[in-house]
Amino acid sequence: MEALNHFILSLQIALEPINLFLCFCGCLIGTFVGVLPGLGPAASMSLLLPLTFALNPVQAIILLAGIYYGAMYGGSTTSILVNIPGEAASVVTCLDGYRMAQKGRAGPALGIAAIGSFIAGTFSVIMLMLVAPPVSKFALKFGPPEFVSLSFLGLTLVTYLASGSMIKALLMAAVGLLLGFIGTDIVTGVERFTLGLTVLLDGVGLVPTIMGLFGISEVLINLEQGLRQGEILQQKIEHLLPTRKDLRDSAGAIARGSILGFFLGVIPGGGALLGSFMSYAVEKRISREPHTFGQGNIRGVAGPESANNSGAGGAFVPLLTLGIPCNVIMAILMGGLMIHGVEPGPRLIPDHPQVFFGVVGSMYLGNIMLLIINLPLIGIWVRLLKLRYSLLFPLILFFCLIGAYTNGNTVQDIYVMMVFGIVGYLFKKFGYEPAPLVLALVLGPIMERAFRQSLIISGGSPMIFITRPISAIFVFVALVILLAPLILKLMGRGGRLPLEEEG
Amino acid sequence: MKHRDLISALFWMIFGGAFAIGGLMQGLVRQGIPGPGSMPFIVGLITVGLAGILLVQALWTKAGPREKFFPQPESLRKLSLALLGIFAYGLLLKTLGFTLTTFVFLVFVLRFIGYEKWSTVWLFSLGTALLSYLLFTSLQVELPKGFVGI
Repeated sequence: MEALNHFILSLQIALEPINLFLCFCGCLIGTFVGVLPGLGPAASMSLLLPLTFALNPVQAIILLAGIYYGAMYGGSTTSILVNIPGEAASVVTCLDGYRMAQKGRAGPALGIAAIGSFIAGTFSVIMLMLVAPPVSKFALKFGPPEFVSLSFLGLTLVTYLASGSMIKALLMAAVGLLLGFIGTDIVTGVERFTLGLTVLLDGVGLVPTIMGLFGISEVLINLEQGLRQGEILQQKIEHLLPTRKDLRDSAGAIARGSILGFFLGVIPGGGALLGSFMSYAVEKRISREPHTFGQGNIRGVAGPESANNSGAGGAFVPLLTLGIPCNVIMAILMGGLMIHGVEPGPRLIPDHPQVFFGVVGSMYLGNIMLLIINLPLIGIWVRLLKLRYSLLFPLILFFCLIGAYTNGNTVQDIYVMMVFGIVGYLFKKFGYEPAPLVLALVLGPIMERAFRQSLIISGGSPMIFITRPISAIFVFVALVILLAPLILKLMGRGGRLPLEEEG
Repeated sequence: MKHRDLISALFWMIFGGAFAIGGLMQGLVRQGIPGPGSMPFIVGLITVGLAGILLVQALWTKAGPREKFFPQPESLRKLSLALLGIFAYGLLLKTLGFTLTTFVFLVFVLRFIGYEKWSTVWLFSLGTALLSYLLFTSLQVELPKGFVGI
């Protein structure tokens, strides 16, 4: 009965005309940035963050969340038609999606991706509504030590699941924490590491940092490689509705992808990306014809596409119930909510039910909108893919410039963005992933406050983190994850997930 | 990657070390409670430690063939021009105002980085500047007007 009441409440909020309109705008923008390679959901969301200042928290999160799952949806289009993933979670869709398109089956590939995404997206919203309230209730028992340990565990998982070197990922998390310490100390009011720059008094801005690391750096990398453009298949896209056989073949993959994607999406560091890779691996493993994967097997599209959309919903669970963002996009959403005075965490559902149920309701409707936006309008998205990069990159730069400026109405934010653009470019050159840095930058101030509160409670003893049972479990799991690769290496086995191999 | 790992490891050592020293100077403990420098000190030391591991790993790794830093002869020129454009945008925004700065910026990047034809450059820049002006005005976003007043 309670679930039904929640469902009705969520629809009531989402069906308000302004919320409905913002949900549609979010889905449309999300599909747009998902389709266009070069402007990912992270940069787009941070770009639009200042525009949400005029909205209330419910409206803001509905718009931003729409961009997120819209991008997950739209990302498949470029993977299938151009063999370039619109966003990271669609990388694996290239393997079979593009091959299907080459064989003249672009229509069914796009169709099954949209149908799988719709089913998985709806499944994840239902799961989010069922799982989040009890998790949130449990998390109300957490005190500052538990939050420190949980943040530590979250950061550890993010670094463990990073696709490159784990040491580099850990370094990124540490650097993110250090950057998070810049600014005025919240406890004593002391200025720290600002180098006398007024723009740093409130800390390193999240919006210019993300736009620099994800937007500007991407443009710089593309520019130095010479404005190349993927080859778009010139065939007419027909038969978007898959045949009965296609649906029969894909049903299992969609179901497995939905379940797997949701639970992997909940894990910090997992998000939509991990689910799509794992789903592909599972489908290939259980298939009677594993050799057909990579040759245009429809299950290689249906599974990962379902998993990445389900994972997108799952990623909301730790953010909305524990206040732990499990990927960069969730970190931006967290930053956005905090700007609006709403702190994500266990108190979110009891204190701001309209925010939680508003998101849930908008996701129900958003999934239907996305089906309409993606399938009948496929022609428009394909035309968009033909836009020359020499015309696209000035627009990306311009949007980033305006986004950075409107963040704090100061040109200094443009310079902060530029610096992080150069930093992001160098990260790519030196093999560093910026995602753990952004997560740590968001979590840093929260973690520091909880850490100092914990030590005040314990009278300065760090033992508080291991004498409280829940905290001790988090610390133990984090240490196991940190030490596992070392132990497995000593035993002569690799200790990381094969993300790169699968890609 | 060996050389790049060595360079980055040394950089992170200095970076982490600076925060650790800064933290020490801010104070680790104040009136019996953790001071403003406590966390930066701890995380700074962790950064130095991790950078140390990376340094050792890099030293032990066999050096592969050295990659070119810039893949094309034109790369550096394009990157410098893009960064110059961004910097100039920040510099001119208050004086020239949003619309004019946007127009000048787009003309610059489209022509000198994108090598677009002049007709495309003028049309695209003017269209984007005017459309964005109308969009942001309708959204009541406060943007600098400059001496021209738009």
